Amino acid sequence: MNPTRILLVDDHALVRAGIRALITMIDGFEVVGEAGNGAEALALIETVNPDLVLLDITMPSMNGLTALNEIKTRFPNVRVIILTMHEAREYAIQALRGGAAGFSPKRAASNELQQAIETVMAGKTYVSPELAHDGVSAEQAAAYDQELLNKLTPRQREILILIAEGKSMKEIGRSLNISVKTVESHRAQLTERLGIHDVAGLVRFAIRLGLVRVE
Amino acid sequence: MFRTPASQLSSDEAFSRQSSSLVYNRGHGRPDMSRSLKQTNSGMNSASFSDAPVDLIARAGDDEKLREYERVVEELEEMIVVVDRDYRYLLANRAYLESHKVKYEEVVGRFVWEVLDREYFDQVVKPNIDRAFAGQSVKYETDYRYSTQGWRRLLVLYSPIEHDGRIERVACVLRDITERKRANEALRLAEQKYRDIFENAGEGIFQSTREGQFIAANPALARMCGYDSPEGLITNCTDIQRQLYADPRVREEYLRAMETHGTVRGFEAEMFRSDGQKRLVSVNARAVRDESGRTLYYEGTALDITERKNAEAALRESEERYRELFENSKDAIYMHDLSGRYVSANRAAEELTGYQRAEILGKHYSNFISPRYLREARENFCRKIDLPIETIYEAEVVCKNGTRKPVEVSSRMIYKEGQVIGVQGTVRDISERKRAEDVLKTYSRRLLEAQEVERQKIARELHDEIGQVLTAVRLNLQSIKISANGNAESRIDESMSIVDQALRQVRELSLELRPSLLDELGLVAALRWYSARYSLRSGIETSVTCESEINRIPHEVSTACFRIAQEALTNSARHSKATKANVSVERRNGELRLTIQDNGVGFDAGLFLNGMGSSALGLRGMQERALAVGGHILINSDVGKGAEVKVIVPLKKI
Repeated sequence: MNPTRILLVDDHALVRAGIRALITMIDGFEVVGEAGNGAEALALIETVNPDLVLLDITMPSMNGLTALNEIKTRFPNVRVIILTMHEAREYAIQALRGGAAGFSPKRAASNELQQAIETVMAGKTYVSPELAHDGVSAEQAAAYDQELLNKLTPRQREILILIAEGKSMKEIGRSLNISVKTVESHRAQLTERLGIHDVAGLVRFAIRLGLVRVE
Repeated sequence: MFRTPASQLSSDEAFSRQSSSLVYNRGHGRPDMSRSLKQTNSGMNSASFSDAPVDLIARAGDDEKLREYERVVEELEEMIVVVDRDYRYLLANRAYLESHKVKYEEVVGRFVWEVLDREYFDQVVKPNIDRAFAGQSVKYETDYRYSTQGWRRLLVLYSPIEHDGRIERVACVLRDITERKRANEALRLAEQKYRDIFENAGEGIFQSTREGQFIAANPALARMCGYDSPEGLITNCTDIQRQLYADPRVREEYLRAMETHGTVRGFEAEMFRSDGQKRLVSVNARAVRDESGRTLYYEGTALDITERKNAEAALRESEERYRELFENSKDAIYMHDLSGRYVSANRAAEELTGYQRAEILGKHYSNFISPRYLREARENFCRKIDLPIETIYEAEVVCKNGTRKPVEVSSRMIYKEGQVIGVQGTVRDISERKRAEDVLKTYSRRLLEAQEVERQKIARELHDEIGQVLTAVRLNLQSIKISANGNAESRIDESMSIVDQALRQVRELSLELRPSLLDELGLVAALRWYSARYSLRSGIETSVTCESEINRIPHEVSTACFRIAQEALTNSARHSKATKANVSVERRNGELRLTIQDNGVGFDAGLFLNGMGSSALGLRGMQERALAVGGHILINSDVGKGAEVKVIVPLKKI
C-alpha cells in the first residue's frame, strides 16, 4: 500500500519540524511538502499532489480557513485536517462547515495525530475528543448549515439551487419567469443571510446540504 | 317773582322794607283796597266792611293813587291778610286765596281758625299775632301744610295797624320761602364740598400775592412746607421768595412767567421746608386779574415731586445698568416679536453674526439660522407658546460672511400685562466647546483604537509566537518520548504537562486580551464563544441569536460591538442577579443592531448615564465605543424590569 502523502501547512518552521518528526516516526505516512501559508499550500498541492493537508489556521497573508475553502473548491478530493492552536468549538464548526475532514488542536496532536489521519483517510470525520465532548461533530456542523438554510425563503432556496447548478442570472430569471433584477435582489438577500458571498461557497454549501448532486 | 331794585340787598331785607312801606302806606290807603277788592270780586257782599273806608278815601283825596296801590297788593306774590282783634279776616289778597284754594267770601269775615287748622292757630298764629296786637312787629318762620301744595316753609310778618292810637288790626304778610331755603341748602352743600376738596386735597392749594405772601393755603400745602396748619404757614411765611425758594432767582423766573403768560404749568422749583429740608415742588398756577388787567393775586396748586423724581432717577439708573449688561454681555441677546422679527439685539449679536444692528432689526430669524436647524427653531418657538418654559437647543448661525457658527440658544416668552408679546433669548457661540468635544471624541476614539491594537498585538504575540514555540517544544518532547528509553519517560511526561500548562495560560491570556475569533471568524462566532464562556463562569444562561450570518462588516465595528456586549454582560453578572441573558445581532437597513438583554433587577438608566459610579463609567465606555464607530447606544431599563442595551451602528458610513 502506498504511504499517505501529507502536506504540512504552518507558518512556524519549528512546529512544522516537530510535526514532521512525529509523522516520520509513523509507518505509512509520508510528508511530501511544507508550506508557510495558504497561498504556498495551494501552489504546492498542484505539484506534490498530496492525499492530505495538515492545515494551520492563523497564518499571514492567507489564513487556514480561507485556504480550506480554496482547497475544497479546487481540489475537492484532497482531505484536510485542521491542526491549530485554537481550541474554541467555533473554530472546529467553522472548519467542518468549510469542508475539513478533521479538527485537532496542536496541543493534542502528539497523541491524536495518527488516529486523526487514519480516521480521515478511512473516509470519516475526526474531531478531537475534547471538542467532540463539547458537542462538535460533522452532524452539528450540518445542523448549523441546515439552520442557515431554514432562514431562506422558498424562493431564495430555489435560486440558491439554480446558482449551485451553475445557472446564470439570466437563465434563472427565465426559468423562474422573473426579471434578472429580481433574481439579483434575491441573490443579494440570500448571500446576506447565509454570509456566503462567492459562487463557490454557495455551491459547496448547496452540496453539503445535499441540495445539488455532485456529478 | 318778588323783585327789589337794590339787587345787592338780600331778599329778606328787601322783604322787610317792602313790608314796612306797606305798613306805612296802609295808614293812608287801607279802606280803598277793600272796595277795589269788592270790585274785582263782583257781586260780592260788602256789608262786613261797614266802617271807615269811605272816609279814608275821602281823606286821601287821591282815588287814582289808591287804586294803583290796590293793584300792587293784588299782584304781590306775598300772601297778605288783615285780621281784627277777634281774629277775623278783614282782607285777603289773591295770593292768599289761591294758596288756600278758597274764595274771597269763604275767608273775609270768617275766623282765622275756620280757614286754618284750629291747632295750628292756637299754637302758632295766636301767640304771635297777640304780640302784634300788643304793638310789636313780629317776624317768624313756620312750616304749614297746605291742602294743595303740602308742606311749605313760610316767612311770616305781622304788622300792627294803628288807628286812633289803638291797635285794632294786624296786617299779615306771608312769604313762601321753601324754594329759597332749598337753594340755600344746595349752595351750602356745594360750598362744603369745595371746602372739603380744598381741605383734604393731596396737592397744596394756595392763593398768594405777587409780593410773596399767602392769602390762603390748604393743609396739604402747609404740610408740604413743614407747617402744622395753614394758619401757621400764612402767619410765618411772609416772604415766599426768601423763605421758600432754595434759589430766589427761580422765584423771579416764576413771576416773569406769570406776568408774561398769566399762567405756569409744571413749574419746578426747589423749596425749603420749615425744617430746612429741600424738596422739589411742581407748581401749576394762574394770575387772577381785575377788569383793568391788574394782577390781584396768584392761585394754584403745588405738588411735592421729590420722591417721584428720585424714583425716576433710580429707574433711569437701573435701566442704564441693564442696558450696559445687555450691551456688554458676551452672549448675543435678542428679542423678536410673535411674527419672528427681531426688535432688539445687542453688540454681541453684531459680533456673532457680523451684521450691523440695523441689518438685524426687523428681519425674520430664519435669515440667521442655518436651514437644517430651522425646523427645530420653529418647533421650539411653538413649544414655548404651548408651555411657558425656557427652551434650550443647539443650532447654527449663518454669519454675514457666509460662515456658520454652532450656537446654543436659550429663549423664553416675554409678556406684557399677561399677553405674550414676543420671545427673548440668548445665543452662545459654542464653537470652542464643539471643537473641544470633537477633540475629546477623537482622543477617546484613538485611545480605544490604540488599546485594541496593542491588545491584539500582545494577544497574537502570546498565542502565535510563544504558543507556537511551546507547541514545538511539546512536539519535540513527544518525539523524544517515542524514541527514548523507559527511564526518561516520566521526566518527559512531566515536562510535557508543564508545557501544556504554559500553553493553557498563554491561550487564556491571549483570549482575555482579544479573542482571535473576532478577527478570524467574525463577530457572531466571537459572541457565541464569549457567551458560552460567560454562561459557564457567571451562571447566567446566555444565548446568541442572529437573523443571518453577519460577516464582511468593518473590523472596528465588530470590535466595538464585541466590547460593548462584553461590558454589558459583565454589568449583568455584577449587578443584575439575572438568570438568563440574550445577545442578538441583526443587520437591517444598512445598520448593524446588537442587543444585549437580561432578566435581572434592572436599573435606572438615566441615573446610571448621568452618575459617576463605576457602573456609569461602564455605560459611558459603551457609549464612547459606539460613538467612535458612528453609532449610538440606547439603554432601556427600569428597576425590576431587566436591562436592555441596544447598539445601532450604520454600516455604510464607515
